[in-house]
Amino acid sequence: MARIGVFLCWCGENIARTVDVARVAELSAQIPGVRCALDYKYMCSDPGQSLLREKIVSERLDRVVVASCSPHMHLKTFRKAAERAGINPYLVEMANIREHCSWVHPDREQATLKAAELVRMSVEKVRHNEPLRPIKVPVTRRALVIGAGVAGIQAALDIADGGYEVVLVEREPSIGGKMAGLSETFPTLDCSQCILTPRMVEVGQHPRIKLYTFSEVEAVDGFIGNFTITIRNKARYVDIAKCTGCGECWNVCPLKKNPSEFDYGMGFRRAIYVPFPQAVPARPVIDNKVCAKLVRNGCGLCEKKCPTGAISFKDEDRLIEEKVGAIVVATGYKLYSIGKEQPSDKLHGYGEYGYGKYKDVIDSLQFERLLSASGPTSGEVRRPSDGAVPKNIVFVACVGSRDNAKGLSYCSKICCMYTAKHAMLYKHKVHDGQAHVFYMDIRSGGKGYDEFVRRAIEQDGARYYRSRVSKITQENGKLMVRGADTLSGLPVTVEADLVVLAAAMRPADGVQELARKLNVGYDEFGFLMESHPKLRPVETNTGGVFICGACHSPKDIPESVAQASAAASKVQLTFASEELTREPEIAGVNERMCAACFRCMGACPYHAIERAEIHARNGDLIKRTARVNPGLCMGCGTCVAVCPSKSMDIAGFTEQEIYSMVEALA
Amino acid sequence: MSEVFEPRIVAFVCNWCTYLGADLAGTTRLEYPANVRIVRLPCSGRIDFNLLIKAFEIGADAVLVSGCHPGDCHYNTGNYHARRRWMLFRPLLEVLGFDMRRLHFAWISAAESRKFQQTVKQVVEETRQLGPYQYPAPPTDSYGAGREPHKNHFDAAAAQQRAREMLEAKEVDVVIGYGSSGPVFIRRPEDVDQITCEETGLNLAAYLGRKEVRAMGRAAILTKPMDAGALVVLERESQIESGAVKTIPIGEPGKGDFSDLDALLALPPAERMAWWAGEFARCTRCYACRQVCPMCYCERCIADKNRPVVIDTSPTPVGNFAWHVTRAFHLAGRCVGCGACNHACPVGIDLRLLNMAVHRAVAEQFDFNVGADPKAESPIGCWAPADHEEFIR
Amino acid sequence: MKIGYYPGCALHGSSNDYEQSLRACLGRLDVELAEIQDWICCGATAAHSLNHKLSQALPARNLALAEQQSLDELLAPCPLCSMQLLKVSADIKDTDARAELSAIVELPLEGRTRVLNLIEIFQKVGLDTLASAVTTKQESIQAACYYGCLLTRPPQIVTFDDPEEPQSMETVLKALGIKTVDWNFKTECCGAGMTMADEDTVLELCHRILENAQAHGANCLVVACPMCHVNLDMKQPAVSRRHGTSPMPVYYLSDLAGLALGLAPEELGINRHFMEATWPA
Repeated sequence: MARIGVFLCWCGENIARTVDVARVAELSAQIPGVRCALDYKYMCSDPGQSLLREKIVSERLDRVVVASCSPHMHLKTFRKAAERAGINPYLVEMANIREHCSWVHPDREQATLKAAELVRMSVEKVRHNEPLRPIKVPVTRRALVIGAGVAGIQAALDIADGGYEVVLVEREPSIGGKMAGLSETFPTLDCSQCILTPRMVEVGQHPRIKLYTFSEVEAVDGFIGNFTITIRNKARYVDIAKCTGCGECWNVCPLKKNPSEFDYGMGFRRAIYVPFPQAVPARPVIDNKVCAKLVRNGCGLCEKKCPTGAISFKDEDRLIEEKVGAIVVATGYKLYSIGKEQPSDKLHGYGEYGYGKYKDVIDSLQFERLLSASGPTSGEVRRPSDGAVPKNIVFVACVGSRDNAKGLSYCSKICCMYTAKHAMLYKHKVHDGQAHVFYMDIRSGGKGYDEFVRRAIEQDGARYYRSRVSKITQENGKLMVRGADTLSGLPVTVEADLVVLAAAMRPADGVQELARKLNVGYDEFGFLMESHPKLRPVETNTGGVFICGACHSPKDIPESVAQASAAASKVQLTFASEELTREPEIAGVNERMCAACFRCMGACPYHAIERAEIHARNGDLIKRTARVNPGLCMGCGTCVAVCPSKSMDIAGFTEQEIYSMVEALA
Repeated sequence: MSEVFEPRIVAFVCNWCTYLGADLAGTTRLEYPANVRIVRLPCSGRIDFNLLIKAFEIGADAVLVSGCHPGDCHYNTGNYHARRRWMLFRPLLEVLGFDMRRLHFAWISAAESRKFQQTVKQVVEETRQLGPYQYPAPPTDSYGAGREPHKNHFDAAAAQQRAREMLEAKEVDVVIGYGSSGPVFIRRPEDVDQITCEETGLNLAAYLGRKEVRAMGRAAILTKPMDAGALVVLERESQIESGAVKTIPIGEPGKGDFSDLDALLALPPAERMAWWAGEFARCTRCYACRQVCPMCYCERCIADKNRPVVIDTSPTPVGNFAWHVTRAFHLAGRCVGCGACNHACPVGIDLRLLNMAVHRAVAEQFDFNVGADPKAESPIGCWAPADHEEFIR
Repeated sequence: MKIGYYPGCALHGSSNDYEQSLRACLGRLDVELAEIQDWICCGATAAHSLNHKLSQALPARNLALAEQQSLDELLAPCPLCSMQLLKVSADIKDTDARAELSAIVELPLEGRTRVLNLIEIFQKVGLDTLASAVTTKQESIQAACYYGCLLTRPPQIVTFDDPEEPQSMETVLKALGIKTVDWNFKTECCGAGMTMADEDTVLELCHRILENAQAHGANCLVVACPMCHVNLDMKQPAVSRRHGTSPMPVYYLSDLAGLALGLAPEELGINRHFMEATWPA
């Protein structure tokens, strides 16, 4: 027979005013198995908790019901108190007689009867509760960071500096991401490469960072603390261990006119190339789509010239396995493709802006390269069509973003700022030029941000039109940008020499596939989902997988870096001990009864259920069964609801416990 | 003395949204009637239809089920799974004539204290108008005889011939057919004449899962037009391997029609409920329906579970109701319409009507063809953003 | 092929040259037009700014009539009409709205009818069929396809082509072997809505359209809207007087198609246009 103690709290007047606590105690004491039922003014206070502990000892209680406030408020408190008196904490239940009773029911009689019934439900539940122990999961204290842009670099360095090994995987031949190609950064106008490249070098030289460039995550297996990652190291045709980066190879490569990815097609590169001078690793890669040797077995000059024999045309993709305990996703963004052709039929392009049709209509990242000292024009603003310096330049904000008709309803967040920066930098370079900005609203929340925009307008004389652009056409060699200024109420037409379109940020290519491998959710636009928008902003719903930077939503550099550090600290928290402790209130299978229909697998939001086989000692298959991975299960119980034979159950919310509560109402 | 009827409401709520919404109602002192009892569960995805039935059994006059709004689930998608099940459970209750005004669904977030208060107020008030819930008393004269045993003749010679070929070619180790009394398991070509020319309404796929049949090796079964779909479902549910079981089709394909179901649905709900109460009152819980169903392969049926007793095991009115609801709902997206349960029922309850109701709901709402593609996702255990929810507050 | 036909007021009145052209051209392609019996106003008039319900009920009645007469597909050659019909088709996807409108128009209404514009009819006939039906090559034409403000808009309702940078008319003409030019003002406003109220604006807008088409090498405009045609054709002498624009014929899409299919200009009613169709051939 259970020895249950019922403790009723007055909560001062809060409960006692409407609930006759003494009478509830009297009624509770009559329930079979209840050894003592007493009330106290403040159960959560120190003396209240002492009373609880004393009674547990003196009455030799083995289960406890505290009738007071919401379990969300004090269940942990009372479980701890009971644990100190030697009771397993999961043998403590609460009855919510404050929020769900005394505060909402003014009638004393009704409230008292309801309170008594709530206590009875909890008594019946606790009678069937089973002692539970927290689940321990071993941790591989090693992290994977996917993507080595500024967010990935920051996260990797933070984790590595914290003392843990990091595997850093980057898809491109060099780390650095989008930031490496930017000119200067708002709102301080410090040079992007000047602040980023030292960090890149640090990554390259860090003893605890294992860098895989030109590599992608192929497969992810396992769960928090115990992931196995398969990485595809794409064929580079250059052994980066042997290569010294001397440059003999690319100097002799005859194929000079390949549009440079790093310059977004504004400049050219060879078939064997280092994407940019400060690349890490500063080792070349051969483009197997254009290289004459690889395409038609010609040329081969670079191989002959290489003093260290680092070039091998026989190179192949390699698959590498790494074991890690936590994962940071920092895959960043790409720009919305402005032209008519769109990757999905949910998106619609701007045929009317002539991007792709007129050479002098470019996007914002292309303009960054025109501004950058390391860019194809060495930092001089010269337009692509004829190399002339544009005297009138138009910037169009919100291209793709905030436009339901084009399929992206969200605000791309950073375009207002970089457009102001573009207008400013342009004016600094072309003193007699005029910048025109077409905008919807100026969104410049951030430290020093609004002042920055004001400077662009007031000091550098950028002309701002609160207007959408309806059409960009070419007439007599001029780009005609048409809109309607909604502040003056007049149509505007600007004759421009160069037009820069601030295209929306979209998640990088392939992020959805990666998200599926990692079992992380993503929104309708493909941005990865955080676990909670406010309280768990860098966690995902898969334990041990964290996100940072623009893969989550459009972000500027400071925000990406802050989030990267946050993710890194979450990783270090995961690694704080050798074992992870998890709440034991998770699902479990009665494997003897399981009929192996696996309906639970489809219902599990966490893919925590796997197919398992039970074998006899001689290896014969006895039966198949579902099995719950305790590292992944979060305890929602959806599997229990779909299990026809109820071979599945949730510890702490077992069928027996729940039915006992319901039957207590009979 | 006319006393005001005070309904009893049981609310099954999720821990993270609705329970907190109710907490907030308390914190902000939003008064509502004291008739509601809240049962806290981790997620609306955990809330099982058996719980709802149990609540009515123990005397609830109405039940409220509530969880997080779509997109807000603490466990990502638990509420979508819940919604999907409710979408199928409601049509089943409807054909039973259950008063749907007693079953309420709501999305109530942790911030929606007022919605919680208003919902409880409305549910209490509406239930007060309806009066107490009572399972209809079964008519005393409902102890009718079962229907005539089912016999259907078919051309046995062709089936025997095919069975012989298969056994001779060692394509299979055993052919399961209809014998003179029950099924026959033919393992030698010379025995094929034991296959008789009348089938008894059994779906022979029901024998495939049995240990002794499995031990016989590779099997072929005689299949009536609707039977073969069972193999697809069994494969979908990992009970048999793809293509492992051969079939010998017999009989002319008929056409399924829903006219009986529509006729039943034309009755007012209360009359339907009363009619079913009469039908169910005859049930002796012999479980023949379960025994012959190829889909009832659980190692231990939920009806036999005793900790806790989910379904009253003795043939009481409420126990029988719970059993038949459970049986039909467990067939959602699985029943292939072979009709074996109907033929097997010794007291002639038209169980097929319940199966059809769920079957039609699956087909219409999810465009799901049960017996078509073994790789297709079962409609329970998945969800779609577009699942309708006009019945949810 | 039999297609339901909703002419609307324009095609039975001021723009009956459009109807003549349409019937001649589609007749050549074996498209039979079945005019809705007892059709009424489409609601694009003052109704939509005065009484929302009325502006829904008018096209709803026309759709209900089409259903009653088993016309599952309905050509509405005037973009104002097709927009009104499409709008209400979208509205009645809502069952309550459908029931209400059905009660108002006192006819059953299921929303079965698919509303098509002229371009879609050509697409339905099939570009290959069009190409093989060409008898008279129109090699000297350089057409500027002018869609106007309504043919592709509003984009939520009219979804057959890109609202800002449409291409479908060009594709039809190309199939017929007629050359088109790439120009800038395909969807600009021609000012037809202001014809009576503000002639200055109308002339300015028309001028811009004509001038840009000519600057891009066009020798004629092609439209699929009676309003555009009236405006650009009838007002052109005034535009020329004020802005010095050189004259330029304005054709209906069915005119050019008809010519390519071997019809005479008189059969298509081209001789009834204001601007003389000096055939460049």
